[in-house]
Amino acid sequence: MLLSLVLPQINPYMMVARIDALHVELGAEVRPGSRILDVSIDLGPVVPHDCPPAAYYRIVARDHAWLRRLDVALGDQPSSGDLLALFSLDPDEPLAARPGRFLRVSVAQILPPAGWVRA
Amino acid sequence: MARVTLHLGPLESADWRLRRSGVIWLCEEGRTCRAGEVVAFVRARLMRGPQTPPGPDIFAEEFGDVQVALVTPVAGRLTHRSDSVSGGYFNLVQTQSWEAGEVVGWLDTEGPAQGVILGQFMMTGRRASPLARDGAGLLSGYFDRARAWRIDRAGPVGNLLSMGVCELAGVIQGEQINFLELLGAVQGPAHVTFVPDIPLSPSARVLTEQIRRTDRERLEIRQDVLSNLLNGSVAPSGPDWMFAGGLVKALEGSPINDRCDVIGPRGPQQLGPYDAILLSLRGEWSFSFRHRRLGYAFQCNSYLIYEAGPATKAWVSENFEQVRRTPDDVFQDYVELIDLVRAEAPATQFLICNRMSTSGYEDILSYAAFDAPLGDTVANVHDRELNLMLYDLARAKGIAIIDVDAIGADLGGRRFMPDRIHQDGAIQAAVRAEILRTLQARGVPGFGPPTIS
Repeated sequence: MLLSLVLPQINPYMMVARIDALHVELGAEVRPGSRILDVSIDLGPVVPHDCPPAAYYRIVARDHAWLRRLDVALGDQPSSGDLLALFSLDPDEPLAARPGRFLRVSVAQILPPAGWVRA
Repeated sequence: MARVTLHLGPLESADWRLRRSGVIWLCEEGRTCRAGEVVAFVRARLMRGPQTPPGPDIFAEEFGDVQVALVTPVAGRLTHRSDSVSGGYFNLVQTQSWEAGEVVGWLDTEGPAQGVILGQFMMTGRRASPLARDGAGLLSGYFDRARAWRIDRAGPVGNLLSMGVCELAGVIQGEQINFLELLGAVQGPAHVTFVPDIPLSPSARVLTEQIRRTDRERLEIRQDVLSNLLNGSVAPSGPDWMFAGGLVKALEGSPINDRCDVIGPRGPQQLGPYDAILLSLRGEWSFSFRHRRLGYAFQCNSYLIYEAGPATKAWVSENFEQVRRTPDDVFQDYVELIDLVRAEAPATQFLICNRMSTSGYEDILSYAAFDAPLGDTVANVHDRELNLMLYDLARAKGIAIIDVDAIGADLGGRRFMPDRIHQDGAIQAAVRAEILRTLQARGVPGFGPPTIS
Protein backbone atom coordinates (compact mmCIF):
# COMPACT_ATOMS: atom_id res chain seq x y z
CA MET A 1 0.00 0.00 0.00
CA LEU A 2 1.19 3.52 -0.79
CA LEU A 3 1.21 6.09 1.99
CA SER A 4 1.21 9.81 1.35
CA LEU A 5 3.06 12.29 3.50
CA VAL A 6 1.34 15.66 3.48
CA LEU A 7 2.39 18.75 5.37
CA PRO A 8 0.36 18.72 8.58
CA GLN A 9 -1.46 21.83 9.77
CA ILE A 10 1.03 22.14 12.62
CA ASN A 11 -0.20 25.53 13.74
CA PRO A 12 -3.67 26.93 12.97
CA TYR A 13 -2.12 30.22 11.86
CA MET A 14 0.45 28.75 9.46
CA MET A 15 0.20 29.22 5.72
CA VAL A 16 3.39 27.57 4.49
CA ALA A 17 6.42 25.81 5.91
CA ARG A 18 9.96 25.96 4.61
CA ILE A 19 11.80 22.68 4.16
CA ASP A 20 14.99 23.03 6.21
CA ALA A 21 16.33 19.47 6.26
CA LEU A 22 15.60 16.16 4.55
CA HIS A 23 16.72 13.23 6.65
CA VAL A 24 15.69 10.30 4.40
CA GLU A 25 17.12 9.33 1.03
CA LEU A 26 14.98 8.05 -1.78
CA GLY A 27 14.38 4.31 -1.33
CA ALA A 28 15.42 4.35 2.30
CA GLU A 29 13.50 2.58 5.03
CA VAL A 30 11.86 4.49 7.86
CA ARG A 31 10.69 2.97 11.11
CA PRO A 32 8.64 4.40 13.92
CA GLY A 33 10.86 7.09 15.42
CA SER A 34 12.82 7.80 12.21
CA ARG A 35 13.25 11.48 11.43
CA ILE A 36 11.90 12.44 8.02
CA LEU A 37 12.32 16.17 7.61
CA ASP A 38 12.61 19.47 9.45
CA VAL A 39 10.51 22.51 8.62
CA SER A 40 10.31 26.07 9.84
CA ILE A 41 7.07 27.97 10.11
CA ASP A 42 7.04 31.73 10.02
CA LEU A 43 3.77 33.17 11.29
CA GLY A 44 4.85 36.60 10.08
CA PRO A 45 2.50 36.65 7.08
CA VAL A 46 -0.54 36.15 9.30
CA VAL A 47 0.60 37.84 12.52
CA PRO A 48 2.99 40.41 11.11
CA HIS A 49 5.23 42.25 13.50
CA ASP A 50 8.83 43.24 13.73
CA CYS A 51 10.05 40.15 15.56
CA PRO A 52 9.00 37.35 13.22
CA PRO A 53 7.22 34.58 15.14
CA ALA A 54 9.08 31.61 13.69
CA ALA A 55 9.28 28.06 14.99
CA TYR A 56 11.07 24.93 13.88
CA TYR A 57 9.61 21.43 13.77
CA ARG A 58 10.73 17.88 13.03
CA ILE A 59 8.37 15.44 11.37
CA VAL A 60 8.97 11.87 12.55
CA ALA A 61 7.65 8.58 11.16
CA ARG A 62 5.25 6.43 13.14
CA ASP A 63 5.02 3.77 10.39
CA HIS A 64 7.45 1.23 9.01
CA ALA A 65 7.72 2.14 5.31
CA TRP A 66 10.03 3.01 2.41
CA LEU A 67 10.43 6.46 0.85
CA ARG A 68 9.56 6.07 -2.84
CA ARG A 69 9.08 9.57 -4.14
CA LEU A 70 10.04 12.98 -2.81
CA ASP A 71 7.99 15.94 -4.01
CA VAL A 72 9.89 18.72 -2.22
CA ALA A 73 13.46 19.97 -2.03
CA LEU A 74 15.37 22.02 0.51
CA GLY A 75 14.06 25.56 0.65
CA ASP A 76 10.67 24.73 -0.84
CA GLN A 77 7.68 26.27 0.91
CA PRO A 78 4.70 23.93 0.62
CA SER A 79 1.32 24.78 2.11
CA SER A 80 -0.33 22.66 4.74
CA GLY A 81 -2.04 19.71 3.05
CA ASP A 82 0.45 19.67 0.13
CA LEU A 83 1.92 16.33 -0.80
CA LEU A 84 5.53 16.07 0.37
CA ALA A 85 6.38 12.46 -0.39
CA LEU A 86 5.10 8.98 -1.16
CA PHE A 87 5.99 5.97 0.97
CA SER A 88 5.14 2.31 0.49
CA LEU A 89 4.76 -0.55 2.92
CA ASP A 90 6.81 -2.81 0.60
CA PRO A 91 10.11 -1.56 -0.83
CA ASP A 92 9.32 -2.53 -4.46
CA GLU A 93 5.64 -1.76 -4.64
CA PRO A 94 4.58 -0.05 -7.93
CA LEU A 95 3.74 3.64 -7.62
CA ALA A 96 0.79 3.61 -10.00
CA ALA A 97 -1.92 3.07 -7.39
CA ARG A 98 -3.53 5.80 -5.34
CA PRO A 99 -2.25 6.11 -1.79
CA GLY A 100 -4.23 3.98 0.61
CA ARG A 101 -3.79 6.31 3.54
CA PHE A 102 -1.56 8.97 5.05
CA LEU A 103 1.80 8.08 6.54
CA ARG A 104 1.40 8.30 10.30
CA VAL A 105 3.75 10.90 11.73
CA SER A 106 4.42 12.80 14.91
CA VAL A 107 5.61 16.38 15.17
CA ALA A 108 8.07 17.90 17.63
CA GLN A 109 9.25 21.46 18.02
CA ILE A 110 13.02 21.67 17.79
CA LEU A 111 15.58 24.33 18.51
CA PRO A 112 16.61 26.51 15.58
CA PRO A 113 19.86 25.50 13.95
CA ALA A 114 22.94 27.50 14.79
CA GLY A 115 23.90 30.37 12.56
CA TRP A 116 22.44 33.56 11.27
CA VAL A 117 19.14 32.02 10.42
CA ARG A 118 16.62 34.25 8.77
CA ALA A 119 13.68 33.83 11.14
CA MET B 1 -26.76 66.31 36.09
CA ALA B 2 -23.98 68.46 37.48
CA ARG B 3 -20.86 70.03 36.00
CA VAL B 4 -17.42 68.99 37.22
CA THR B 5 -14.52 71.31 36.51
CA LEU B 6 -11.23 69.71 35.41
CA HIS B 7 -8.10 71.36 36.82
CA LEU B 8 -4.44 70.75 36.10
CA GLY B 9 -2.75 69.30 39.16
CA PRO B 10 0.37 70.43 40.94
CA LEU B 11 3.72 69.85 39.31
CA GLU B 12 6.52 71.49 41.22
CA SER B 13 9.54 72.51 39.21
CA ALA B 14 11.58 74.06 42.04
CA ASP B 15 14.23 76.28 40.47
CA TRP B 16 13.43 75.17 36.94
CA ARG B 17 10.88 76.66 34.59
CA LEU B 18 8.16 74.19 33.67
CA ARG B 19 6.68 74.78 30.24
CA ARG B 20 3.91 72.90 28.50
CA SER B 21 2.26 72.59 25.11
CA GLY B 22 -1.41 73.14 24.49
CA VAL B 23 -3.74 70.39 25.63
CA ILE B 24 -3.78 67.53 23.13
CA TRP B 25 -7.17 65.94 23.64
CA LEU B 26 -7.49 62.18 23.21
CA CYS B 27 -11.17 62.18 24.16
CA GLU B 28 -13.39 64.05 21.73
CA GLU B 29 -15.63 66.92 22.73
CA GLY B 30 -19.02 65.60 23.82
CA ARG B 31 -17.86 62.04 24.37
CA THR B 32 -18.59 60.23 27.64
CA CYS B 33 -15.36 59.33 29.46
CA ARG B 34 -14.75 56.62 32.05
CA ALA B 35 -13.31 57.32 35.47
CA GLY B 36 -9.59 56.59 35.20
CA GLU B 37 -9.43 57.29 31.47
CA VAL B 38 -6.59 59.27 29.93
CA VAL B 39 -8.46 62.09 28.24
CA ALA B 40 -5.58 64.29 27.10
CA PHE B 41 -1.88 64.91 27.35
CA VAL B 42 0.54 67.78 27.19
CA ARG B 43 4.19 67.92 26.31
CA ALA B 44 6.28 69.34 29.13
CA ARG B 45 9.78 70.71 29.27
CA LEU B 46 11.92 71.69 32.22
CA MET B 47 14.02 74.68 31.27
CA ARG B 48 16.78 76.51 33.03
CA GLY B 49 15.84 79.75 34.73
CA PRO B 50 17.76 82.43 36.61
CA GLN B 51 17.67 80.43 39.85
CA THR B 52 18.54 77.05 38.35
CA PRO B 53 21.64 75.67 40.04
CA PRO B 54 24.62 74.68 37.88
CA GLY B 55 25.04 71.03 37.09
CA PRO B 56 23.54 68.56 34.68
CA ASP B 57 20.16 69.22 33.17
CA ILE B 58 17.17 67.33 34.46
CA PHE B 59 15.87 65.02 31.73
CA ALA B 60 19.06 65.79 29.83
CA GLU B 61 18.72 62.70 27.65
CA GLU B 62 14.98 63.08 27.23
CA PHE B 63 14.82 66.79 26.64
CA GLY B 64 11.62 67.71 24.86
CA ASP B 65 10.00 64.30 25.14
CA VAL B 66 8.42 64.52 28.60
CA GLN B 67 4.67 64.07 28.49
CA VAL B 68 1.94 64.40 31.09
CA ALA B 69 -1.10 62.19 30.45
CA LEU B 70 -4.18 63.66 32.11
CA VAL B 71 -6.52 61.20 33.79
CA THR B 72 -10.08 62.02 34.76
CA PRO B 73 -10.98 60.72 38.23
CA VAL B 74 -14.72 60.76 37.48
CA ALA B 75 -16.88 59.69 34.55
CA GLY B 76 -18.91 62.12 32.50
CA ARG B 77 -19.55 63.86 29.19
CA LEU B 78 -16.56 65.97 28.24
CA THR B 79 -16.41 69.60 27.22
CA HIS B 80 -13.03 71.04 26.22
CA ARG B 81 -12.13 74.53 27.30
CA SER B 82 -11.99 76.16 23.90
CA ASP B 83 -8.66 77.94 24.42
CA SER B 84 -7.00 74.89 25.97
CA VAL B 85 -5.87 74.01 22.47
CA SER B 86 -3.38 76.51 21.09
CA GLY B 87 -3.58 75.12 17.60
CA GLY B 88 -0.93 74.49 15.00
CA TYR B 89 2.67 74.44 15.99
CA PHE B 90 1.89 76.01 19.36
CA ASN B 91 0.00 72.90 20.35
CA LEU B 92 3.12 70.83 19.73
CA VAL B 93 5.78 72.89 21.43
CA GLN B 94 5.99 73.99 25.02
CA THR B 95 4.95 77.63 24.79
CA GLN B 96 2.89 77.92 27.98
CA SER B 97 3.68 77.82 31.67
CA TRP B 98 2.30 74.97 33.74
CA GLU B 99 -0.17 76.54 36.17
CA ALA B 100 -1.55 74.24 38.87
CA GLY B 101 -5.30 74.72 39.18
CA GLU B 102 -5.78 75.91 35.61
CA VAL B 103 -9.12 74.80 34.16
CA VAL B 104 -8.86 72.82 30.93
CA GLY B 105 -12.38 71.38 30.60
CA TRP B 106 -15.55 70.14 32.22
CA LEU B 107 -17.50 66.91 32.66
CA ASP B 108 -21.28 66.64 32.92
CA THR B 109 -21.80 63.90 35.51
CA GLU B 110 -24.46 62.28 37.66
CA GLY B 111 -22.56 63.26 40.81
CA PRO B 112 -22.33 66.59 42.61
CA ALA B 113 -20.90 69.74 41.04
CA GLN B 114 -17.28 70.07 42.09
CA GLY B 115 -13.79 70.77 40.91
CA VAL B 116 -11.43 67.83 40.46
CA ILE B 117 -7.73 67.58 39.84
CA LEU B 118 -6.77 65.61 36.76
CA GLY B 119 -4.50 62.69 37.60
CA GLN B 120 -1.03 62.70 36.06
CA PHE B 121 0.68 59.77 34.39
CA MET B 122 4.11 61.03 33.45
CA MET B 123 6.14 59.48 30.66
CA THR B 124 9.22 60.08 28.60
CA GLY B 125 11.60 58.35 26.25
CA ARG B 126 15.20 58.68 25.21
CA ARG B 127 15.47 58.96 21.46
CA ALA B 128 17.63 56.29 19.89
CA SER B 129 18.95 59.08 17.71
CA PRO B 130 18.28 62.82 17.56
CA LEU B 131 16.96 62.03 14.09
CA ALA B 132 14.20 59.86 15.55
CA ARG B 133 11.70 62.66 16.09
CA ASP B 134 8.08 61.73 16.35
CA GLY B 135 5.26 63.78 17.79
CA ALA B 136 2.40 61.56 16.74
CA GLY B 137 0.96 60.73 20.13
CA LEU B 138 1.43 59.59 23.66
CA LEU B 139 4.96 58.20 24.02
CA SER B 140 5.29 57.55 20.30
CA GLY B 141 8.76 57.45 18.79
CA TYR B 142 11.86 55.36 18.42
CA PHE B 143 13.13 55.32 21.99
CA ASP B 144 15.99 53.17 23.25
CA ARG B 145 14.57 53.67 26.74
CA ALA B 146 10.98 54.52 27.66
CA ARG B 147 9.84 55.44 31.16
CA ALA B 148 6.62 56.26 32.98
CA TRP B 149 5.69 57.13 36.52
CA ARG B 150 2.92 58.34 38.77
CA ILE B 151 3.84 60.29 41.85
CA ASP B 152 0.46 61.41 43.16
CA ARG B 153 1.07 60.18 46.71
CA ALA B 154 3.80 60.81 49.24
CA GLY B 155 6.33 58.13 49.98
CA PRO B 156 9.31 56.38 48.44
CA VAL B 157 9.11 55.87 44.69
CA GLY B 158 9.17 52.19 43.75
CA ASN B 159 11.54 51.80 40.84
CA LEU B 160 11.30 48.98 38.31
CA LEU B 161 13.49 48.25 35.29
CA SER B 162 12.16 45.86 32.67
CA MET B 163 14.71 44.63 30.19
CA GLY B 164 12.69 43.94 27.13
CA VAL B 165 12.41 41.02 24.97
CA CYS B 166 9.34 41.21 22.79
CA GLU B 167 7.55 38.88 25.22
CA LEU B 168 7.63 41.60 27.88
CA ALA B 169 6.95 44.65 25.72
CA GLY B 170 3.17 44.39 25.85
CA VAL B 171 3.18 43.17 29.44
CA ILE B 172 4.94 46.29 30.67
CA GLN B 173 4.07 48.88 28.04
CA GLY B 174 0.51 47.74 27.41
CA GLU B 175 -1.74 47.74 24.39
CA GLN B 176 -0.78 51.26 23.28
CA ILE B 177 2.92 50.94 24.16
CA ASN B 178 2.70 53.75 26.71
CA PHE B 179 2.39 52.03 30.11
CA LEU B 180 -1.24 53.08 30.70
CA GLU B 181 -2.43 49.68 31.94
CA LEU B 182 0.47 49.31 34.36
CA LEU B 183 0.18 52.84 35.75
CA GLY B 184 -3.57 52.41 36.10
CA ALA B 185 -3.06 49.21 38.11
CA VAL B 186 -0.68 50.59 40.73
CA GLN B 187 -1.08 52.89 43.66
CA GLY B 188 2.18 54.74 43.26
CA PRO B 189 4.43 56.44 43.74
CA ALA B 190 6.01 54.17 41.18
CA HIS B 191 8.35 54.46 38.24
CA VAL B 192 9.01 51.93 35.50
CA THR B 193 11.60 51.82 32.73
CA PHE B 194 11.39 49.62 29.66
CA VAL B 195 14.47 49.05 27.50
CA PRO B 196 13.65 47.35 24.19
CA ASP B 197 15.73 44.54 22.73
CA ILE B 198 16.68 46.62 19.70
CA PRO B 199 19.38 46.37 18.62
CA LEU B 200 20.94 44.53 21.56
CA SER B 201 19.00 41.67 23.13
CA PRO B 202 19.54 41.71 26.88
CA SER B 203 21.00 38.46 28.17
CA ALA B 204 22.54 38.36 31.64
CA ARG B 205 25.97 38.19 30.00
CA VAL B 206 25.29 41.26 27.85
CA LEU B 207 24.01 43.24 30.87
CA THR B 208 27.00 42.27 33.00
CA GLU B 209 29.45 43.32 30.31
CA GLN B 210 27.61 46.63 29.88
CA ILE B 211 28.09 47.38 33.59
CA ARG B 212 31.77 46.38 33.58
CA ARG B 213 32.77 47.94 30.27
CA THR B 214 35.55 50.48 30.61
CA ASP B 215 35.98 53.68 28.63
CA ARG B 216 38.90 52.10 26.81
CA GLU B 217 36.78 49.09 25.81
CA ARG B 218 34.02 51.40 24.60
CA LEU B 219 36.49 53.22 22.43
CA GLU B 220 37.85 49.95 21.03
CA ILE B 221 34.34 48.81 20.11
CA ARG B 222 33.60 52.12 18.45
CA GLN B 223 36.82 52.04 16.45
CA ASP B 224 36.34 48.41 15.49
CA VAL B 225 32.81 48.94 14.18
CA LEU B 226 33.86 52.00 12.24
CA SER B 227 36.98 50.48 10.67
CA ASN B 228 35.21 47.24 9.76
CA LEU B 229 32.34 48.99 8.07
CA LEU B 230 34.66 51.36 6.22
CA ASN B 231 37.09 48.66 5.15
CA GLY B 232 34.74 45.69 4.90
CA SER B 233 33.98 43.62 1.84
CA VAL B 234 30.62 45.37 1.27
CA ALA B 235 30.07 49.13 1.08
CA PRO B 236 27.71 50.16 3.89
CA SER B 237 24.37 51.76 3.09
CA GLY B 238 22.50 54.35 5.15
CA PRO B 239 20.59 51.68 7.10
CA ASP B 240 23.90 49.89 7.81
CA TRP B 241 25.25 53.09 9.40
CA MET B 242 22.01 53.62 11.34
CA PHE B 243 22.23 50.10 12.71
CA ALA B 244 25.89 50.51 13.60
CA GLY B 245 25.15 53.75 15.42
CA GLY B 246 22.35 52.18 17.44
CA LEU B 247 24.46 49.16 18.25
CA VAL B 248 27.49 51.17 19.38
CA LYS B 249 25.23 53.32 21.56
CA ALA B 250 23.71 50.21 23.13
CA LEU B 251 27.08 48.55 23.73
CA GLU B 252 28.46 51.72 25.31
CA GLY B 253 25.48 52.15 27.60
CA SER B 254 24.32 50.27 30.68
CA PRO B 255 20.55 50.34 31.30
CA ILE B 256 20.94 49.19 34.89
CA ASN B 257 23.15 52.18 35.73
CA ASP B 258 21.29 54.81 33.72
CA ARG B 259 20.14 57.96 35.48
CA CYS B 260 16.37 58.35 35.94
CA ASP B 261 14.92 61.82 36.55
CA VAL B 262 11.28 62.29 37.46
CA ILE B 263 9.06 65.23 38.27
CA GLY B 264 5.97 65.26 40.46
CA PRO B 265 3.98 67.43 42.84
CA ARG B 266 6.96 67.72 45.16
CA GLY B 267 9.41 68.70 42.47
CA PRO B 268 12.03 67.07 40.30
CA GLN B 269 14.19 64.33 41.70
CA GLN B 270 16.76 61.82 40.56
CA LEU B 271 15.81 58.29 41.50
CA GLY B 272 18.27 55.94 43.12
CA PRO B 273 19.12 52.44 41.93
CA TYR B 274 16.32 50.24 40.69
CA ASP B 275 14.40 48.42 43.42
CA ALA B 276 13.61 45.60 41.04
CA ILE B 277 14.88 44.34 37.69
CA LEU B 278 12.61 42.27 35.49
CA LEU B 279 14.22 39.86 33.04
CA SER B 280 13.01 37.07 30.81
CA LEU B 281 14.52 33.66 30.30
CA ARG B 282 13.64 34.18 26.64
CA GLY B 283 16.56 36.59 26.58
CA GLU B 284 18.95 33.71 27.23
CA TRP B 285 19.58 32.12 23.86
CA SER B 286 21.01 28.65 23.33
CA PHE B 287 23.59 30.28 21.07
CA SER B 288 25.24 33.59 21.77
CA PHE B 289 27.78 35.45 19.73
CA ARG B 290 31.14 36.72 20.79
CA HIS B 291 33.41 39.17 19.02
CA ARG B 292 36.44 37.24 17.81
CA ARG B 293 39.02 39.90 18.71
CA LEU B 294 37.48 42.05 21.43
CA GLY B 295 35.61 39.23 23.15
CA TYR B 296 32.36 40.97 23.96
CA ALA B 297 29.01 39.18 23.94
CA PHE B 298 26.53 40.12 21.27
CA GLN B 299 22.90 39.12 20.93
CA CYS B 300 20.81 40.57 18.16
CA ASN B 301 17.75 39.20 16.44
CA SER B 302 18.78 37.95 13.02
CA TYR B 303 16.00 39.81 11.26
CA LEU B 304 17.57 43.08 12.39
CA ILE B 305 20.90 42.05 10.91
CA TYR B 306 19.29 41.25 7.59
CA GLU B 307 17.18 44.40 7.55
CA ALA B 308 20.18 46.58 8.38
CA GLY B 309 21.88 45.70 5.13
CA PRO B 310 24.53 43.50 3.51
CA ALA B 311 27.46 45.34 5.07
CA THR B 312 26.11 44.66 8.56
CA LYS B 313 25.55 41.01 7.73
CA ALA B 314 29.08 40.74 6.37
CA TRP B 315 30.52 42.48 9.44
CA VAL B 316 28.70 40.17 11.82
CA SER B 317 29.53 37.02 9.86
CA GLU B 318 33.24 37.88 9.67
CA ASN B 319 33.76 39.22 13.19
CA PHE B 320 31.69 37.09 15.53
CA GLU B 321 31.77 33.45 16.52
CA GLN B 322 28.93 31.40 17.90
CA VAL B 323 29.08 30.22 21.48
CA ARG B 324 26.76 27.50 22.75
CA ARG B 325 25.23 28.26 26.14
CA THR B 326 24.02 25.51 28.40
CA PRO B 327 21.62 26.02 31.31
CA ASP B 328 24.67 25.91 33.59
CA ASP B 329 26.24 28.76 31.61
CA VAL B 330 23.04 30.78 31.93
CA PHE B 331 22.95 30.07 35.66
CA GLN B 332 26.49 31.35 36.08
CA ASP B 333 25.73 34.44 34.00
CA TYR B 334 22.70 35.23 36.16
CA VAL B 335 24.69 34.75 39.38
CA GLU B 336 27.42 37.07 38.13
CA LEU B 337 24.91 39.75 37.15
CA ILE B 338 22.96 39.54 40.40
CA ASP B 339 26.10 39.66 42.53
CA LEU B 340 27.41 42.61 40.54
CA VAL B 341 24.21 44.62 40.91
CA ARG B 342 23.72 43.75 44.58
CA ALA B 343 27.29 44.75 45.38
CA GLU B 344 26.14 48.32 44.76
CA ALA B 345 22.46 47.97 45.70
CA PRO B 346 22.03 44.97 48.01
CA ALA B 347 18.24 45.17 48.20
CA THR B 348 17.68 44.87 44.45
CA GLN B 349 15.01 42.32 43.64
CA PHE B 350 15.28 40.23 40.48
CA LEU B 351 12.15 38.93 38.80
CA ILE B 352 12.67 36.49 35.94
CA CYS B 353 9.96 35.19 33.62
CA ASN B 354 10.34 31.52 32.85
CA ARG B 355 9.56 29.99 29.47
CA MET B 356 6.33 28.64 28.13
CA SER B 357 7.50 25.06 27.65
CA THR B 358 4.69 23.51 25.63
CA SER B 359 3.27 24.56 22.31
CA GLY B 360 0.30 22.25 21.93
CA TYR B 361 1.42 21.64 18.37
CA GLU B 362 3.50 18.55 18.93
CA ASP B 363 2.85 14.91 19.72
CA ILE B 364 6.14 13.25 20.57
CA LEU B 365 5.67 9.50 20.91
CA SER B 366 9.35 8.55 20.81
CA TYR B 367 12.59 10.39 21.38
CA ALA B 368 14.47 8.09 18.97
CA ALA B 369 14.44 10.80 16.31
CA PHE B 370 16.48 13.20 18.40
CA ASP B 371 20.15 13.22 19.26
CA ALA B 372 21.21 13.27 22.87
CA PRO B 373 21.33 15.41 24.88
CA LEU B 374 17.68 16.13 24.16
CA GLY B 375 17.97 19.61 25.59
CA ASP B 376 20.14 20.56 22.62
CA THR B 377 17.48 19.57 20.11
CA VAL B 378 13.95 19.32 21.46
CA ALA B 379 12.56 22.75 22.26
CA ASN B 380 10.30 21.75 25.14
CA VAL B 381 13.10 19.80 26.85
CA HIS B 382 15.45 22.74 26.44
CA ASP B 383 12.87 25.12 27.89
CA ARG B 384 12.15 22.84 30.85
CA GLU B 385 15.84 22.49 31.65
CA LEU B 386 16.11 26.27 31.71
CA ASN B 387 12.97 26.56 33.84
CA LEU B 388 14.44 24.04 36.31
CA MET B 389 17.65 26.06 36.41
CA LEU B 390 15.61 29.07 37.53
CA TYR B 391 14.52 27.14 40.64
CA ASP B 392 18.18 26.57 41.49
CA LEU B 393 18.77 30.28 40.97
CA ALA B 394 15.81 31.14 43.20
CA ARG B 395 17.32 29.02 45.99
CA ALA B 396 20.80 30.42 45.49
CA LYS B 397 19.99 34.10 44.99
CA GLY B 398 16.42 34.64 46.11
CA ILE B 399 15.11 35.71 42.75
CA ALA B 400 11.38 35.64 42.07
CA ILE B 401 10.13 33.46 39.22
CA ILE B 402 7.26 34.82 37.14
CA ASP B 403 5.69 31.54 36.11
CA VAL B 404 4.68 32.31 32.52
CA ASP B 405 4.71 28.56 31.87
CA ALA B 406 1.94 27.99 34.42
CA ILE B 407 -0.03 31.07 33.41
CA GLY B 408 0.13 30.03 29.77
CA ALA B 409 -0.92 26.49 30.55
CA ASP B 410 -3.76 27.75 32.73
CA LEU B 411 -5.13 30.09 30.08
CA GLY B 412 -4.37 27.84 27.13
CA GLY B 413 -1.05 28.56 25.48
CA ARG B 414 -2.15 27.19 22.12
CA ARG B 415 -4.72 29.95 21.86
CA PHE B 416 -3.04 32.77 23.77
CA MET B 417 0.62 32.23 22.88
CA PRO B 418 0.66 30.47 19.50
CA ASP B 419 4.45 30.56 19.07
CA ARG B 420 5.19 30.17 22.82
CA ILE B 421 6.67 33.69 22.97
CA HIS B 422 4.34 36.35 21.63
CA GLN B 423 1.23 36.75 23.75
CA ASP B 424 -2.25 38.07 23.27
CA GLY B 425 -3.82 40.66 25.56
CA ALA B 426 -5.31 38.18 28.00
CA ILE B 427 -2.05 36.49 28.89
CA GLN B 428 -0.19 39.80 28.93
CA ALA B 429 -2.68 41.09 31.50
CA ALA B 430 -2.28 37.93 33.59
CA VAL B 431 1.53 38.13 33.50
CA ARG B 432 1.39 41.84 34.34
CA ALA B 433 -0.84 41.13 37.34
CA GLU B 434 1.56 38.42 38.53
CA ILE B 435 4.52 40.80 38.24
CA LEU B 436 2.69 43.45 40.27
CA ARG B 437 1.69 40.89 42.93
CA THR B 438 5.30 39.75 43.15
CA LEU B 439 6.65 43.29 43.47
CA GLN B 440 4.20 43.97 46.27
CA ALA B 441 5.03 40.70 48.00
CA ARG B 442 8.74 41.51 47.76
CA GLY B 443 8.21 44.87 49.45
CA VAL B 444 8.86 47.09 46.45
CA PRO B 445 6.88 50.24 47.30
CA GLY B 446 4.29 51.79 45.03
CA PHE B 447 3.25 48.75 43.02
CA GLY B 448 0.26 47.70 45.11
CA PRO B 449 -3.25 48.15 43.71
CA PRO B 450 -4.75 51.63 43.79
CA THR B 451 -6.96 52.41 46.75
CA ILE B 452 -10.51 53.54 46.11
CA SER B 453 -11.13 56.84 47.85
